[in-house]
Amino acid sequence: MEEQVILDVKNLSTTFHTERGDYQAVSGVSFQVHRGEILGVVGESGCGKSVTSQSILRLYDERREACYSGEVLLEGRDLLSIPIKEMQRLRGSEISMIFQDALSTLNPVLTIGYQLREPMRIHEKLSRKEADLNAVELLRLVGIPEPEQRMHQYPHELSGGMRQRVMIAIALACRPKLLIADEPTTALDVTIQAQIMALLLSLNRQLHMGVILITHDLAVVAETCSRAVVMYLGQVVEEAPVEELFRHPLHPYTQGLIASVPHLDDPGKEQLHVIPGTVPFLEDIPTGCRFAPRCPYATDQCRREMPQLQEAGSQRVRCWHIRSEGGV
Amino acid sequence: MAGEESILRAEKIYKNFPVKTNRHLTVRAVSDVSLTIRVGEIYGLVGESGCGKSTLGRVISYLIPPTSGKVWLNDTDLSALPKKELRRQRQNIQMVFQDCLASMDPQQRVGDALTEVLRVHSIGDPAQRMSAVIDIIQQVGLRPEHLFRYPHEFSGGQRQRIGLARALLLHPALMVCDEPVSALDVSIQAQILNLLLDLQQQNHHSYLFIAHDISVVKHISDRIGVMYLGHLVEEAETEELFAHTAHPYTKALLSAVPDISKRHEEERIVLKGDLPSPIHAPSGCVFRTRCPYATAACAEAAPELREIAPGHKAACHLCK
Repeated sequence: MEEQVILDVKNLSTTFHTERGDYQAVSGVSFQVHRGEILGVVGESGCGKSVTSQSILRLYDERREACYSGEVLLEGRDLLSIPIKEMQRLRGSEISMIFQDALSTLNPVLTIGYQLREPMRIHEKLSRKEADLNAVELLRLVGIPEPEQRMHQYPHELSGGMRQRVMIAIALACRPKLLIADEPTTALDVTIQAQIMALLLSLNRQLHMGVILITHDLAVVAETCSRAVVMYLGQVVEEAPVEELFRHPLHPYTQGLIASVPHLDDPGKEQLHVIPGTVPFLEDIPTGCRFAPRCPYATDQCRREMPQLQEAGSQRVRCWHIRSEGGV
Repeated sequence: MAGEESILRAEKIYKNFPVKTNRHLTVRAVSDVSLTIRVGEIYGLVGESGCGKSTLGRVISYLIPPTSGKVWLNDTDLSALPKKELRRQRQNIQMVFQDCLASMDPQQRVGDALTEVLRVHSIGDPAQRMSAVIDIIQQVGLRPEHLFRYPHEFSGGQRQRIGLARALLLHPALMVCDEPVSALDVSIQAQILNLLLDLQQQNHHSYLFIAHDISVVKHISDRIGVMYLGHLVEEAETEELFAHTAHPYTKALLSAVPDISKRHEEERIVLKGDLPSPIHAPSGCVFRTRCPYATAACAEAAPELREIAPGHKAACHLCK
């Protein structure tokens, strides 16, 4: 029952122009998002997961800041080659995004109601009255009590969890085909995080949109996503259905990442697994496999040549060891 | 292993903060918390933002005095000490913070910052201080040449190591660590947690380990206290707490923690609503507004923290 592909990212690279030269923060990333699925994008800080999501929406200024290459196909149309005006029309209507920090994303001097109506008035040309009705409905959909009163309130009057719900409501205002959620619960407490993740799951089922969930938290991915992409230093190192990824991770980085998280059912007080060293800076990206300097299995070939993503059953892995032994 | 002997006792600690815009209101950050930290143990304090865990940590290290209540370090009542004496005693309690970059002078080399710790407490001569600092920096897994660098030249994990070195220099009897790993990526977090456990096993310090991440607290602690809205609602040895969770809040907190081995089909207790404001805390039991089991009795009287099994305390009317 293969669902239709909504977003097809092919070989996407993003290069930033800085005073000290050009840095490629995302290098040749490819993945697909299907209708109705939640795709997880995981990695540690600096792995390029947020840059990838913002590049899909072309949020970096192409005249000064950055340049993109590759293709981002939204239902077959390449977003990287359409005029920026056209892109603006798609943002918030076909693709929406929610961010980690709702307080700094919402406008502090405009009411919740105004900010909810805005996308519908711009994209769908609704009258204020129609937009008002829809907005109240949206607030109800995301589980905000007393929605009529909330319409007149300002962001600072709401709690962190409520603000994140408002952000989600705004993102959903025009029924997007694709929702990108960039660390939507990272700033929230666990009990509130549980509320927001439950909401995202139920909305995903009800509205049948594609969702890209970007997070550093493997456990959140394990619980909510159907497939996941693991990123390291701007590249996809592994892609797999979530059950496979956690039961049988193939890439040494994925293995290390999973092993270094403490679990509630561990005996405790034991040494945690450690990935030696730290993520290198973009200035000194290693030649060959980018993970090789921290990898326990690295060989001369790993240090010399860059491995490509290759199929291994239902998984895709970027590692030299996969071909020879069928797994590390 | 931890003995029964205590290193620190906090008795009926209250800490209120005035509300600047309204003289008649106070924020009750910590209410009626008593706890004991035993020699050589790691005591984990867990709770969500705004529950008062950091305030309690600051009161215990006497960075801020409590509104009422007493803190005993060994047999010394910290509240009764004159300022000079308090400062001397405070060598014995050292803190490690979440953001080490913010707690360091950006214009001072790390080596100078570390030797200064010994200088203000008039310990040793310059040569002795330097050798103590070189010694400690290696214990936390850095190299002596790092002492000539400035704070911004270090990564997050290395900064946390410097924070630990600074605290350990004075050989404190108690280390208070306030969210020491929450700003770090998981692979770095694992490095720091391992280091903390290694150091504790070498030096037998006692730790108060404050964090919001219950998996981390469980991994590292011998005993755990759970806070909610300024109150200690449950306290037990780590294994006991997880095997026989008693308080409804602790249950919800544990159930809310995402885990790799869980899937979303599993039943989960999702608490309704948000944390109430500590300015207008609910009457009776503070948790009753979000508690799935709350009864009329919960609104009337505040439950006391009492022993429900040996060494296991909970503050709930419904716990037998």
